[in-house]
Amino acid sequence: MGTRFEIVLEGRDSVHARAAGEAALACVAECDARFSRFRSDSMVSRIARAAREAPGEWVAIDGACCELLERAEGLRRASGGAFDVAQRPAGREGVDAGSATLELEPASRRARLLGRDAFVDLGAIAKGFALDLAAASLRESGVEVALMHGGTSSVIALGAPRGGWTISLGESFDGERLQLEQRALSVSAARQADGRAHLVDPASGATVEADMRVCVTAASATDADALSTALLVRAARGIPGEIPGFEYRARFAQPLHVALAHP
Amino acid sequence: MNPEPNLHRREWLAGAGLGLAASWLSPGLEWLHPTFGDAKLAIALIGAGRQGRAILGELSTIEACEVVAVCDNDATRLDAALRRAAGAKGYADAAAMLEAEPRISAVVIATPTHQHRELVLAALAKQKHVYCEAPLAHSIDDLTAISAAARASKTVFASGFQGRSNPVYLLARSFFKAGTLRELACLRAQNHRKTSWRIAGSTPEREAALNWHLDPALSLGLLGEWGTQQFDVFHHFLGREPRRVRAGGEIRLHADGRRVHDTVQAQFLYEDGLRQDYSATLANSFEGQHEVIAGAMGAIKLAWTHGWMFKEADAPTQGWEVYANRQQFHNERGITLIADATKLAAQGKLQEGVGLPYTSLYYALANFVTAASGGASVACGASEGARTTAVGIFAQRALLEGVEVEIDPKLLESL
Repeated sequence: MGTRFEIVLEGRDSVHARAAGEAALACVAECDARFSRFRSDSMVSRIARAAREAPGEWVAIDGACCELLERAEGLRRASGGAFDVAQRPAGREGVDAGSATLELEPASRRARLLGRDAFVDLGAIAKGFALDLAAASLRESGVEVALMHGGTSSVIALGAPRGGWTISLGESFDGERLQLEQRALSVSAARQADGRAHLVDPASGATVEADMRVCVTAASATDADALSTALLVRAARGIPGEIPGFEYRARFAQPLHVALAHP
Repeated sequence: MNPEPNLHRREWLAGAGLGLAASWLSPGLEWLHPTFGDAKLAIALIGAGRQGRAILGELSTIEACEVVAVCDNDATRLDAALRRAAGAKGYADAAAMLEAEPRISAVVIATPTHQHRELVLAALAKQKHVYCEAPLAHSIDDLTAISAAARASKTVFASGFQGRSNPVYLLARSFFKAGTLRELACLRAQNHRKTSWRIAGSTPEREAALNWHLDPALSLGLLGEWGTQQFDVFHHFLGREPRRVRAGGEIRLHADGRRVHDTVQAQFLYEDGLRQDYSATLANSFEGQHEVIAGAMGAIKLAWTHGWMFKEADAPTQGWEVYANRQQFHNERGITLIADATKLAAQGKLQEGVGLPYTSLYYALANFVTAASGGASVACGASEGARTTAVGIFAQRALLEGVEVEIDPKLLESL
C-alpha cells in the first residue's frame, strides 16, 4: 500500500508477540496483494482488465474482495456519491469522471466495472480494511492489547495498557490528544504533505483545493478510513451533517473555506 | 502481417518481431487466461491454515468449481475458513466429511506435510480427484504409498508444485528448450524471507500443534517445506533430478529454543557435474524468492510472477529482441518475459504485460480443476511431485547427518 505499518502489542512472551505481529502484518501484505491496482495479479486489476478487454463481463471475486466492495458501495450510496471506488483517469479532455460504475452481485460473488478506461481505486478504504483484518488476526492469536497504524493516518486500537492509547492529532488539530481503545481512527487531508491537492470529487472530477483535514473515529478502521475521505468531499460540496447509517465521530481541523478547481 | 494503420512503424516492427518469436516459442498462450467448461466441480478443502485459506481465495474466483466443504480439526481455523467459503459445510474430521458428502468430486489437501499420506489415500479410495500441496510427504515411506495409490487410481492427482503451470515459467522453459542459453553453467535458487516462521496460537497448547514445521521429528525444514517448490522448477527444465546433495544449516537469528535451522544452504550435483546451489533463510529478505539458470549464452531469472532473460554480449541476437521490453538491474539489463507479448505489442500495451494477471497458485489450481473436469492434463502429477519431494527428503537428510547423500535414482524411477 506504499506506506509503513507498525504494531505495538503485548503477547504471552516476546516469541509469541513476534509471531502474532508477523501474522497481523501478513494480513496487511495479503490485502496489498489483493487490492492494489498497481499489481498485475490483484483482484482489482482483474476487474479493470475485464472492463477493458471484455466490457460488461462479470468477474468472480473472493470473499474478502466482495466484503470490501460491498462496504464501499454502502458508503457510496449513503454519502451521495462523495465516496466512490470506481474511477476514471482525471485531466483528460472529454473525460467524464462520473461515468465509471462498479456493479456488484454479492450473492454470486462477482463484480464488473463499466466505463471506458475505468479502474477501481481502493486507496481510501483498503488501509482501514487491512487494519481490521490484522486486528482480527491479533485476537485470533490471543492478543488483547495492541495498537496498529498504517502510515500514521489510520490507526486501530485493541485493548490498552491503562485507560486507552494516547493519540496526538498534531498541530492542525490544535495539538488535541485523545484516548483510543477498541476503536479506530483515521485522518484525511485534502492536501498532501508537500501542499499539493490530491482529493478529487468522484462525481465531478473536480480537485478539492481547500486545505481541509478531518479526524474520524469509528468502531472499524474500514469505516473510519472511508468516512474521512467521504466527509472531506461532502464538506467541499457544502454538505454538512452526518452520513446516515454509520456510527462515527468526526472533527474538522480547519474552517471550511472551499474552492473547487475543475480539470 | 499487415501493419495497424495507427501504429508507428517501429511499434509495428516490434509487434511483428515479438509475434514471430511468441508464435515459434509459445507453450500455449491459452494458459495465461485459463478457460473452463460449463460443469462445476464440487471441491472439499482439508487444512484451513494460511495456505488453505489462500487456496480458498483463489478457488472462489474459478467459476468452474464450488467449495462445498471445508475440514480442519482446529475450530478457530475452520471458522475463519468458512467465513471465506460461502455456503460450504464445516467438518472437523476428514473421514466423516467424505462419508457425509458424496457430492464431493475433488479434494484439495493443505494440511501439515506429515498428515498427507492418510488423507490422500482416503480420498483416492473414495475415487476423488486429489490436489496435494507440496511437499507431498515427509518420509520416503509415505511418499512411496502416495505415489503407488495415485498411480493405481483412475482419478486425477495433482502435486502442488506451481512452476509447471506458471505461464512465465513455461515461456522461459520454451526458450531454454530451444537452446537459447546453450551450455549450462550453473543453477541457483534462494528463498530469503525475514520471519520467525512461527504461528501464534491463542493458547500454548494450540500453538504447539500449529508449529509442526518447527518440530524436527515432523518437519522437512526449509529445504523440504520451501525448497522443493524451487527444486521442481529445475527438474522440469532439465527433465532430470540431481544425483547427490550436501547441506548445512544454522540458527542465525531466531534463537528461541527451536531445533529447526533458520538458515540453510544446499548444493546438488547432477550426473554430468552440473551444480545447483540453494539458500534459504528466515533472517533476511533481500532478493526474496527466485531461481536462476545460467548458460554460456545467457541466463534466465524467474520470480514467480515475473521472469527475465539476460543475454551474454556474444550471444546471437534475434530480430525481435531489439524491440523487447527490458528492465535494468544494476549493471544488468534483462529482457522481460511476457507471456502474452504478441497481443499486447499489437495493442501498444507491452508494458502492461509485465507480471502475470493471476497468482502462481491460481494457475496451479486452475490446471487441477480443468484436469479433474476432463479438459486437460495435469501439469505436475504424482510421479513428478513424488520425485521432487524425494529430493527434498534426501536434502534434509544430508543437512541433519552432515554428510553428502546419494539421491537414489532407482528409488526416483519407482515413484
